[in-house]
Amino acid sequence: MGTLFKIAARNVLRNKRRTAITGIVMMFGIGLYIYADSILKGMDRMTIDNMVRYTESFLKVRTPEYVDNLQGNPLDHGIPDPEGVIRKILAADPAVKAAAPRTRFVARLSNYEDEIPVLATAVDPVRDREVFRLPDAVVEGSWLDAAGPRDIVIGADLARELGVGLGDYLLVSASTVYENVNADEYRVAGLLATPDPGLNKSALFMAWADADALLGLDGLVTEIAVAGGSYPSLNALLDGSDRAAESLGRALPSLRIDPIRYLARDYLAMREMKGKFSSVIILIVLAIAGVGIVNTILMAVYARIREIGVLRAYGMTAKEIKRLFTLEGLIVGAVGSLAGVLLGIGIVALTATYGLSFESIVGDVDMGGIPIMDRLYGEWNFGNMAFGFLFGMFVSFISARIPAKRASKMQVTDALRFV
Amino acid sequence: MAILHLEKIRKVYRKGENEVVALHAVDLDIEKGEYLAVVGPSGSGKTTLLNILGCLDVPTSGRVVYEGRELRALGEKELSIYRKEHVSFIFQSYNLIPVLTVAENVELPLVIERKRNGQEARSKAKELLAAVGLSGMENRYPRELSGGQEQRVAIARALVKDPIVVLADEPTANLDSHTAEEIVELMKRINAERKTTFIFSTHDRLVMDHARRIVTLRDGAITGDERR
Repeated sequence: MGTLFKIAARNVLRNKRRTAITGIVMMFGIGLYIYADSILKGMDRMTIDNMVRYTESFLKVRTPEYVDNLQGNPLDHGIPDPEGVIRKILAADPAVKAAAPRTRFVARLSNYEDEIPVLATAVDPVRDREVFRLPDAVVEGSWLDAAGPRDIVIGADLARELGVGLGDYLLVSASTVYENVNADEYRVAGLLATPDPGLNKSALFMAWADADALLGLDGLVTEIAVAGGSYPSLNALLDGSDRAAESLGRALPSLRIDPIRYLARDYLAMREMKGKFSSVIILIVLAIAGVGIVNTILMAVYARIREIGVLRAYGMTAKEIKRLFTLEGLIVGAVGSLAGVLLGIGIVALTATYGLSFESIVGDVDMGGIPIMDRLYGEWNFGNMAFGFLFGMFVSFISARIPAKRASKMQVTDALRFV
Repeated sequence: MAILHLEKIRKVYRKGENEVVALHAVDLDIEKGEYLAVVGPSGSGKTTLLNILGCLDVPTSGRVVYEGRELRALGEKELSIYRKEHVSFIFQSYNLIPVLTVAENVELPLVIERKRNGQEARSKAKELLAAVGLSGMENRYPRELSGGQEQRVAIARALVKDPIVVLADEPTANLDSHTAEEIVELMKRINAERKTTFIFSTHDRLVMDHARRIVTLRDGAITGDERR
């Protein structure tokens, strides 16, 4: 095996350019796959984290009737005894860290010239801060807990569209719980710039007391957003949320508990498609590399037909000839795959440390409400790196077998006569 | 008893719709330790005969018997053993492996044979290279050698596994007359010292002059068999 390996290794180096091209194709193919996988996983983590931090929370508690009529953000089907429910939530599972009541409603925002429909949320400014990171996303002014009565916080893009700034007054109109329309004037106390373009363009937050005065809520809470702890990976977060939802479900049998896996179901379905997309990338790139290996080994076979004749004349069997050429393909594949993994590790290390500005890549594009405008950090996935390497080796093996088989089937006398 | 016995060997090649008879009804007995030249014009069937003796090719009909065993009955594995252990080849254009050093080229048959460890193979190769006058050239590559030196390496490679029979197809055809004479002397010495059977195909007068037996082929048939 030592000399066979020596022959194979030296033959690989015999046509350096051809070997280098094949190896480089493999290197970039596997490196790109590892990088793409890391970025996609980083994007998943970032997106779900942002959903938890800014829009959906770790899990939500609502009534089943409210969820059934969710489309219109109705002001009925509220949670009975919300404070009692919050106490039960906080006691039900150690994974639950905080809970905040919210009521969503559709409103219209006017600067007395233009009117824009917005998705408004009545919040308890202090408890909401324990569940969401919205206060951190206030880029001008302050969050509602530091603001005065009749103050609102709106998305920065929404303010731009209405041509208003901090301290300006806007007219908010909405249907009340009694199904008549009420309107009042509010001062803009804070502007939000979150990673979610949807929030920035159409969100309005209002303190509970003001919403009560506007809509006659009378303690109506349509949802309770729940905060969980921190989790090392996306899957751990999803599983943690599922487990907590189960515990809460047992403690609150009449309410509906939706974990983040359900709340982010549209994105997670898209994520599955992305996974398939990245598999297609690796298949295409490695198919190209495979063709390169077939070509490299086939050229090696044709360049060495007489040598094959000599090896056969000295007793090497067809199987051993096949093994020799397969070994050559595997050496090219191993070098290319290893270089690809190292390249992938290098790029992932850079993106995991410094991140990428996703906004600079995709611009200010609304991705169907997916919160993606943030710095994107690559995720480490050593299992996938090992897969990339092994898949590269597998492709090399399969690719090398074709010309190796041809070499082994050559007639000795024909091979020796070959000029 | 003959070490190689050929009986009514016929070999027909197909070229398109035509049939070319390379050998027909060749009968030949070769004794152990013979120094035999197969001569004849181009296309007379010399190389075909050598290929059949080396089991590189199979006759269309007839029997080749080596030490009492009919070679045609051997399977791929047994044929490989025959080529690994009993018979060796020297080619007209040397056919050294360019990526291997001189010593590694000589060791190659032992590596394929897998009967000796690396150290034994190396010392055997060194011994053979000394025998063919190439001591000190072990680490050179074929591209660094002259034609005569390459053929010496090919002879060392052929002898390293102590074969019973060496088949040499026009071994001096690519060499100048001085080098050819050296090579012929070398093979003759080895034949005398080791009792290795040498069978040549040749056009070269010099090789014929040294041969102790000359078999003449013409149009695929033996037309002369002269012992000296």
